[in-house]
Amino acid sequence: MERVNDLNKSPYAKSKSKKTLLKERIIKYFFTINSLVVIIIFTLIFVFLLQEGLKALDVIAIKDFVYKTVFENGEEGKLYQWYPTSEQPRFSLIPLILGSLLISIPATLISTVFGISVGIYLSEIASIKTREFLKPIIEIFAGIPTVVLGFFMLVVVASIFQDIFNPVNRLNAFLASIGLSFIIIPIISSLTEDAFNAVPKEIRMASYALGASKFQTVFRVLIPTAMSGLSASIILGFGRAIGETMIVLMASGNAAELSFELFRSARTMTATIAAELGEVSQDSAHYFALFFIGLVLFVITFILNMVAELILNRMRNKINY
Amino acid sequence: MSKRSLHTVSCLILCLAVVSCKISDKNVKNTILVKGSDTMVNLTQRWAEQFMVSHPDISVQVTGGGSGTGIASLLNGTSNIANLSRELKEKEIEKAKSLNIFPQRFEVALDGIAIIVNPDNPVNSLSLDEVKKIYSGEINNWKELGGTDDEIVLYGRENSSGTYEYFKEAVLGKDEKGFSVDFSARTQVLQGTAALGQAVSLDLKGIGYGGVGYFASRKDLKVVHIKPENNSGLKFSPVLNGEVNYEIIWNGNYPLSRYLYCYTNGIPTNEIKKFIDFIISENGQSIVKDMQYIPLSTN
Repeated sequence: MERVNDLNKSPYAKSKSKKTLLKERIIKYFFTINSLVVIIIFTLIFVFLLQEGLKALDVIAIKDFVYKTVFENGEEGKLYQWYPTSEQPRFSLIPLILGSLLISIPATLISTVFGISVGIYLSEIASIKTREFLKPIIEIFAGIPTVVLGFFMLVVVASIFQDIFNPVNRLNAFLASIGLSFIIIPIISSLTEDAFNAVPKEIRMASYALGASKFQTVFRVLIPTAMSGLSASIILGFGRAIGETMIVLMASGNAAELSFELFRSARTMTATIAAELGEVSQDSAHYFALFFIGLVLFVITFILNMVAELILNRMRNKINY
Repeated sequence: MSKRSLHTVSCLILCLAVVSCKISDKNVKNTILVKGSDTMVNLTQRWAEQFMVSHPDISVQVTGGGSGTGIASLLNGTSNIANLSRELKEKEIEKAKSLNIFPQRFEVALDGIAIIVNPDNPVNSLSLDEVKKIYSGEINNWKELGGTDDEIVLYGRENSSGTYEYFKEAVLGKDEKGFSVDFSARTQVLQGTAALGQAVSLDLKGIGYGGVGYFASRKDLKVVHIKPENNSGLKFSPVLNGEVNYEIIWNGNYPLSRYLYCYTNGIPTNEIKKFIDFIISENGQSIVKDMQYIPLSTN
């Protein structure tokens, strides 16, 4: 914006006709208004989410989002259960948060191994030709509609896993993690590649000049230098894994069970919202509880994205020295 | 500049307001308001669509909310027809009397639930009590039911589905304190009957439930015989030779079925009568069949 202003003040501006000036003005306003509209809409969405989500705290005590106390035969017990439509509703988010983590942490670990290796291969090892061929193919993975991936996991991969691992549940947390990996690997690999490309050529050359092999250069020089970029890519991948809905809804089996087993069914926060919000009666405790989950999710992904952004900024500053 | 953006935003809001007004301004014709059971919302919606094709001067608006909400709205005059998946309760009849309203009951369709397992599962019949124990998590292994030594994998529907509600009510029932029993937390929630059928057909250890009509002709699933009592030899299957066994549902022997009702305020007249007549007609009942419910007895 300021650059345009400077241009107007420059001696060249005088030579411009009035028409051109008007045109530039219009273009300037067009972009400003568009970005303002977007910002306003996002703010409104956030305000709405905050408003509806916090209303939950009027109807449900914050403790009830963790556990419900029950008295059985004179003994006090804690129930960590999600039964929003029961006659004795229980709104514990613990099984849902646990489910989200049980699916997204393995997915992030798998994607980190594959994503970073692919990133290193693309930026350091592959020839230009191979890179130009492989890169779009990997990026296509990120573009597959998640509902298609979910369906593929549900129908094809689930049966293959059933034969190999014979899991307790055909649809389980591990299956969902594998599904998620398909979309997170491209995210991590392309960010890894960016991080490696951002390493100044001098550093790479200096390493080779000192007689280091390619392997040594990658592991002793490039990875430490690009470390902040790599960690940011992993965090962003994790954020995507937590927020992904369709794959987990279809492949995880959605049993809101308090379990730590990978081969059992799990239910995530996102899947709960997707499955229940459509038919919930408005302004009920259940309705607000779902918005509260949305708020929790928003806060988690917001923090993850912010941390990643901070790390990336630090990396840019460091490399620009 | 900020003034200008303010203008754009207010213009947008104005446009939205105009559009939404246009949508809500439609009910000037003869309108029938139907409210009630969530099980019946989709079915009634279909009846309404077909009915409005042949009666373009009448508009039928269908909303859910549950049987209780339906009868309450009939009594306070905010709806013309109440959909109920149960009969009126004592309290509701009394309330109607005190308001000088005489609700008229019409049987419009039946609802039947089949319990399904994998065809390779050796278990052929289950008592109602066993199904209850399976889904509340008391019985965890097929061995206890005469099957293989495998953990039972429970498949169910999302808690907004009418089938979920009916199953919970008819099978799980209430505990000794009078609270309705909840599904075991191990129950996997699948989106729709199709996904459920597919899952059970591929899972040897699985069990599921859903509308009878949907599973009757499936070769890759086995519909279990249901024993109403634990120890008697009586057992009933809602399916006979790959087709829904209507007889056994109509005569009330199959325990997991129920009538669905429409209640009107007094004996219906005019457009309300027309709509009820349409529902009971052959056309209306063929829609019942299409929607995987059980049509009324033809004799």
